[in-house]
Amino acid sequence: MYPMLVIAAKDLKLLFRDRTSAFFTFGFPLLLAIFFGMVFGGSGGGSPATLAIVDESGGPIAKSFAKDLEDDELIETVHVADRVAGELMVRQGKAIACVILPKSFDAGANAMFTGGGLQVEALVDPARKAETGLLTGKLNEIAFRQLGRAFNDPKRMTSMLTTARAAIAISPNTSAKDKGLFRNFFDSAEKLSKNTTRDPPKDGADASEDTGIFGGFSPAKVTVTELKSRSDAGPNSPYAISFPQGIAWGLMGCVMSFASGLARERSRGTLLRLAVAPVSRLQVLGGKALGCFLACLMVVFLLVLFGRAFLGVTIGNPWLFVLAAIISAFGFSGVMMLLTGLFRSEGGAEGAGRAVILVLAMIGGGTIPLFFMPPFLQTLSSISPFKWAIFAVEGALWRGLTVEQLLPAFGALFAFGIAGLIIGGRGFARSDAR
Amino acid sequence: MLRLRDLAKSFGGVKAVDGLSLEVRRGEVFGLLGANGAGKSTTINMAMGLVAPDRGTVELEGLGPPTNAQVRRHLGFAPQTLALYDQLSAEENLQFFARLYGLTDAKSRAAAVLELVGLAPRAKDRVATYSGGMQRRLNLAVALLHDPPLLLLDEPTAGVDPQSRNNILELVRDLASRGRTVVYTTHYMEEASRLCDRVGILDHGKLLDVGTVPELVQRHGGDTVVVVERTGLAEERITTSEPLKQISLALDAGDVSGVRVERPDLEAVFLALTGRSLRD
Repeated sequence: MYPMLVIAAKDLKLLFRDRTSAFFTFGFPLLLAIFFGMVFGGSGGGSPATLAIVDESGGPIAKSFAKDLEDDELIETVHVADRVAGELMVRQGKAIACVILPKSFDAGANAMFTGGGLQVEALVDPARKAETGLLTGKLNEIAFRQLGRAFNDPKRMTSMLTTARAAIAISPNTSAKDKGLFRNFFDSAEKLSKNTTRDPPKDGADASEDTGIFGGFSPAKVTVTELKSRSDAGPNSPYAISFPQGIAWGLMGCVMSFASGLARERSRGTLLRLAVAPVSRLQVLGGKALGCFLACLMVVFLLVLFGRAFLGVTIGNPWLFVLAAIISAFGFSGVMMLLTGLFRSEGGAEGAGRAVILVLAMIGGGTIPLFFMPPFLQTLSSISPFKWAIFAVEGALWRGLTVEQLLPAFGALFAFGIAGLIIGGRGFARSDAR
Repeated sequence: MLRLRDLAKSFGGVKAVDGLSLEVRRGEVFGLLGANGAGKSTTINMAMGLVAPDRGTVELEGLGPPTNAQVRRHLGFAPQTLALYDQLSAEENLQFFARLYGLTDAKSRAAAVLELVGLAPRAKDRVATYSGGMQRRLNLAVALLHDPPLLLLDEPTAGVDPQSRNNILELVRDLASRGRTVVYTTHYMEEASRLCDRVGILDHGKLLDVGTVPELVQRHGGDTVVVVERTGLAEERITTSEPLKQISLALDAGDVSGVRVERPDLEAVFLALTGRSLRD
């Protein structure tokens, strides 16, 4: 055991002496985790999407519509003079879309019962399709809110019904019988609007909120509940999502440093020197694997502890996290051994080895989270140790998983470790056979 | 001390060593002289147990084959490549290898060896900042750490400046005087002549002859050449086994402006044995 410790200590010293390797093992993953944490929502729980608004109408209903957009916490609005300015903002990426309320906006609202309706135009950035879908939903929601308000405002209701009566009266395609039915419907609606009594606003409620019989009308009532972390530390920081990804990059840095380090030892003759020392080949390999294992552990702990100290990352289950870190480190030590067995030259380890590990990191969710990937890639990701390491660390940090639930991840990582040590060790022995 | 019997090793159909047998005596400096690719390093690597021979045996007197890790404790090895960690200091390199050898006094042993090779003042500097000669000396120092009775030095002066070469040669001589047995590979005639008690001439994996330098010269060097220079005439080269007699005859004939004697050396031996110069 002592020779293994001596070799591992030397390798860790070399890792820290080589500033580039040390940066890509510890510094770069940390920067990446912070960056992605900011992308995923930063410390404020998500930055609102910017929307340019062009109010060509200037009418009260258009103003009300724009106000609702302004008041939405998910949207940041910027009023621009005309659609040219709005389009420019979208083209420059300064806004995800430009919403135009045309001159006919209020007139359309008043013609709600005669085939009119709220006319809204939106110029969107083609690169942001997902946000466009969300925007369409948001515009519909606000449009429904205007409808509810109209029903609760007797004057607007009367105005809308007057327009509707006039239109129906001259409509050539409506039979006399239907015209009669429409008139009855309009009369009843006007009566209902005028005679409905409204409850006074509840304590603390905004008096301007829609109340009354049509107040807050919505075609669907969706209740959204954010799952709380099962840890006692409260809700997770977005960095709790980005730090496991950062850890994946750190593990990648460790694997590459040690794989290329071993190849370098082979090409520079120091491995020869280890071979003539009175230690077995198993001890040499064990020392290398132990060094990589310890470096991987350092990466996991340093990143998570940094996230916990400065960025609000919570450790839901500390013991499970320690277990996840140990098994992940073991799995990646095996990956390192596998690479050294497969790619024996320094160039091979640096080039082909890095390519292999990069692909594994990409499909394993190291670059973008798995839930963004298409289903086939999500299935394929099971061959990547990065997927299991990220899942194991997330499971312990904030997913609130139990040991039993993490067993597949632990099993996969353990299998990677054992397979890597055996295959890599054999490859190593073949290439350096005495 | 070290016995190699009928060693053979091929790499991809190329015979690197072909039926090599030799015995290195305790306390001697044995030189393996040969051109690049002659099989010197392969021989050394087989002697170290690093390369398995296709045929033949290697044995350390009374200990057994060097494939046994405990037997290797008695061997010190300085490979041809600079097998050092250049991001570590000389001290750290030596302490690391000392610990691998299980030396309990790793620090003091490292310091002693650094003193021996003249690198103590630069002990804490990273190896990457060392000159080629200093790195060679450190490469040798690693082999001396565990004070082995047998040293195998594979071209320990390759690519160093004359001053460092002298230092290394003096160090090897000093080690030999302290009872160490040294196997020394080189392609420098001068080194072999100056340093080695016996020399083996290796070519194309075969050991062509072994002996002291005078023995080899006597066997293969040929006669001495007396070169007589006369004013206005081309120099005259007289091959003879009696050079003094030839000089006397030339002087008697008169009009001699100069006389030079060319004695056969290892170069001539190598040429005679291999049919080509070592510098080819």
